[in-house]
Amino acid sequence: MGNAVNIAGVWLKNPILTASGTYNYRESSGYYDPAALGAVTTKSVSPTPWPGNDAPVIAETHGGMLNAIGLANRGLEAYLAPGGELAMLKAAGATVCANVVGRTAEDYTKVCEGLADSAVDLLELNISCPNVKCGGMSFGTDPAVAADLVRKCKIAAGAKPLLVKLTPNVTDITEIARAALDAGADGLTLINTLKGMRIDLKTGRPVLSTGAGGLSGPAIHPVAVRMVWETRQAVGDKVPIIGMGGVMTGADAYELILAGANAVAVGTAALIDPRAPVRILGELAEYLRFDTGKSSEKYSENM
Amino acid sequence: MSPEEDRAVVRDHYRIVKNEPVTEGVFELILDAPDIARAAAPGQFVNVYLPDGAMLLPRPISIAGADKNTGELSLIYAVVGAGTQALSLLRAASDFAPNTIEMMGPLGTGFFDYPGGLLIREGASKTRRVILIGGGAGIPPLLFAAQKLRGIYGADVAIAAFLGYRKDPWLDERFGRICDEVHTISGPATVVDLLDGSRVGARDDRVGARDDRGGARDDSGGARDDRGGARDDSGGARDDGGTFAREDDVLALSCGPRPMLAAVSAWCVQNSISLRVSLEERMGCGYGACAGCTAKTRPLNDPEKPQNGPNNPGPDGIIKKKVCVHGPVFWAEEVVW
Repeated sequence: MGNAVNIAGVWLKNPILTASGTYNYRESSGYYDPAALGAVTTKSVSPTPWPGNDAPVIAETHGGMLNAIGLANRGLEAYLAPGGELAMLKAAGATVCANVVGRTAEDYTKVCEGLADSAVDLLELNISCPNVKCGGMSFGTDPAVAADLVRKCKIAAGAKPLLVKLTPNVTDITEIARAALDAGADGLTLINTLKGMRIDLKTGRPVLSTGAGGLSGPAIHPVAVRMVWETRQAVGDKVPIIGMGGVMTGADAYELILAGANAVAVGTAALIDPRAPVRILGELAEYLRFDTGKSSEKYSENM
Repeated sequence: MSPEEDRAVVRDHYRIVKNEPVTEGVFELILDAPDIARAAAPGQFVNVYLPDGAMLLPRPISIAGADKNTGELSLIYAVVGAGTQALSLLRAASDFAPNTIEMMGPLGTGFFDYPGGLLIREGASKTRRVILIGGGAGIPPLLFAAQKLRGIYGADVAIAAFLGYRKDPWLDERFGRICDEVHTISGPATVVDLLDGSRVGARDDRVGARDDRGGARDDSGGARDDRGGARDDSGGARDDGGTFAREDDVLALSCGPRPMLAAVSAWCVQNSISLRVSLEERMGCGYGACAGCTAKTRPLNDPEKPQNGPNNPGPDGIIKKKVCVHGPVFWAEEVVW
């Protein structure tokens, strides 16, 4: 539809992706054709199956939700198996971005190696999940630690473009962004969830089994806009940025593009309406039709 | 539609026919929703979306009844928080106000809707015996189960309901219109006390007694009135059993607070009765994408009890299943209580 974007050498037919953890082929594909989107970012993949946290791991908040799902997934082997998530999405003609997670640097590199020769189009290094005790966000809050991990994963990932997903739970997101890029990251995705908590008034205890969890939804959209803006200012025009955070409408997506994103991911909105990504794509197309400056293409290195 | 299974999940705005209290803190919402009413199975639920940008998540509400002819869908819900409070304030549509609510469904795996679907099968020759065990806000989906069972088997199914309420009963009359027996308990006593006092779990040596009591019931003519009287005599809480002696083909269905379900599960194991339970968990999406509502389960090696969802336990022998798609109804034995 003329809104194709190039992310680190991979062409997305349009600038809308799913955000990790909100698309599941088996459950979601009945609602729309995954090939209709720019890409589907799949749920986190760890080297071995992770059970995730015990319920309750969902809490509603004003204009958002907290989750503490804890990256529950069936592991690398299941992801790559015939009939697995990746095979099904590729058979459906989708462009796939795999979200990679681990507890240790070795975990991350193992998954990157495993995906290097797979049909995956893009890798997204999740160094920003607030819901795991080790790994996740602990790699994404210290620039030196983040850089070291990215360096290792870049080698492990071979020719696959490596995006790094950043946490908003830092004083200055641009520090981590620069560190990741200097270490070889091919692009950035931001933002992951904001760390938050709700307390049950009757029991006086946190609603979530883990205490704190990750806040997502429209409540965090302005934070995402600000951080995408700051990051774009800091890293220059050449770096691919996928913006995300509380995108509920095409207007929200367009706002992130104006802030500096090349493409936009839809997460929580898809949990509320399984068809939200395609609806938002349609709405965004209207904005882009009148965007003579083609904001989303402005930052693509290969344009 | 997914290539693997043909799911008739629809999402739309539906006209509110009625939204009125049935008792203190409990409302019945009737919607003109022919597509969902046609596809709905007992134990399934719908996602109700509030017209409020601050409360984003759907309210998963179990289906209390569906009429394919009128296209009406009944949801009976307890007002427990801000969301259900807002829902309770919605008014029925009129000529001047075409009030609607957005809804997606039917969702989940119901009481009879498991691989093989052994229970609900038209033309079954022998009489089926089903006991429904409900507690509080968990009672409404059992009404739909009773409705469905009677619709399919007619007189070939015997249905007994055991209902526990915190205060006064509020759905007994509707169960009474469908079920062969309705037993009620309220206050601090539990529905397990009610089951204990009944003869559902009775062994063979007590079956003979059943005939005597059956006769007594017939004599009384108005069995329900009689029952009411008996209840008062026993202190307003307990009702004694009826014609349900244990048989191998007894199936129990239960929905209610988790501690109640655990107790009912233990009771059913003790009495060798197959039990399917409807679990409740905080949900995100309600359709399986977020994996936010998980239940710990164990694999069952019983061909008579096929299970939904993954069958590969972790090192601890546990399989985490999604309450929203693999449930909310599970075999009681697969649930890790």
